[in-house]
Amino acid sequence: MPRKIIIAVLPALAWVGVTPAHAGPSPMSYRVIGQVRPSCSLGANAPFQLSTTVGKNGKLDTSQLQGVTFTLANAVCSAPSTIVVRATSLRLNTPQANVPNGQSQTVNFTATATGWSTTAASVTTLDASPLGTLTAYSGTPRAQNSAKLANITVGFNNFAVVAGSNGSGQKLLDGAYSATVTISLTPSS
Amino acid sequence: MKKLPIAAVGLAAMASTPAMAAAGTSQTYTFNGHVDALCSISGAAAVDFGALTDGSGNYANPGAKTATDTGANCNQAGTTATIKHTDLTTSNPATTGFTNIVPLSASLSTDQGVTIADTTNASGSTASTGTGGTIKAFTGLTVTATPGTPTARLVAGSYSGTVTVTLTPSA
Repeated sequence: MPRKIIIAVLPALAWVGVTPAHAGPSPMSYRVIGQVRPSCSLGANAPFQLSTTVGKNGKLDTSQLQGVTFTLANAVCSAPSTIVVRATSLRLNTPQANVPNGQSQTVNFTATATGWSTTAASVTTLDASPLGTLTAYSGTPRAQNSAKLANITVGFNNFAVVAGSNGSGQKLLDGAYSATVTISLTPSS
Repeated sequence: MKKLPIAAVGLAAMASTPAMAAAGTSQTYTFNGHVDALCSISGAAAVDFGALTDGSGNYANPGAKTATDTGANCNQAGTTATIKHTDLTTSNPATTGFTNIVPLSASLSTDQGVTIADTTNASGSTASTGTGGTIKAFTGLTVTATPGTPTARLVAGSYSGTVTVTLTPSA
């Protein structure tokens, strides 16, 4: 009887003992996560002023203005984004409440930002009165479909004096003129 | 009355002298027990590093964070562990000037004070080769992940990575 008991127990121990001893658990993966929220940065050099001086002859030296460019170095968006250009008209810094017939204190123009979106972003100011306004006109938003780090260059053209109802001469009041140009980058959600 | 105790003593003496009786048989009965070699590991909730950049999009190292697996244990003194890890990555593409990888390093430690650090490097979502060692019998496991410095500005997105621990029980 004792021998029969021992023979019966040993196979059971062998079966129970071998398999778990060599079988570890499956690998366990611990997950770690983090977030980078979309953001854009233009640096500290925006908005900026477009300025010129009109002399006594009332003529705007557009050749000089068209050569002006502003560069926003190392503009960056960490996600797809849109760029928008906004601008006020080029207007006499100390505007007059009235201007003589045939004269003006306002110049419309186009500002164009290149280097960011495939289609350049631009805006054309649309003041209709020779008195001008402080309205900031907004251009069409242009898309950049990837995160981007680049320089944005802003140039100017299409200067056009806003003439009065009988302002065929399009003569400007003399003095200092300026416009405010703003570039906006907005990350897509 | 005095004779009775004498008779009782005589009976007791006879009962306590079996050696004097004829040779018999004996048997030792053995009772065995068994504790299986066993490792258990149950995992932990995802460890969230939170925001990896500041308001300007610059990298802000959140520092090391830990995942505690209180249910992990092994009962054999020769137990070994291997630790591998990936980096923190996002599937959002990294264009020029950006990266979508935050390098990680990883280590594990037991409640009994044994530590193994993965000394190999991951390559983005491709896991490191891994580092192994003996961690003995233990109860409780802490996994630590430490972010390094990205090579460029981080592209926006949700980042994730893993630290993988494999336990092998051994006597």
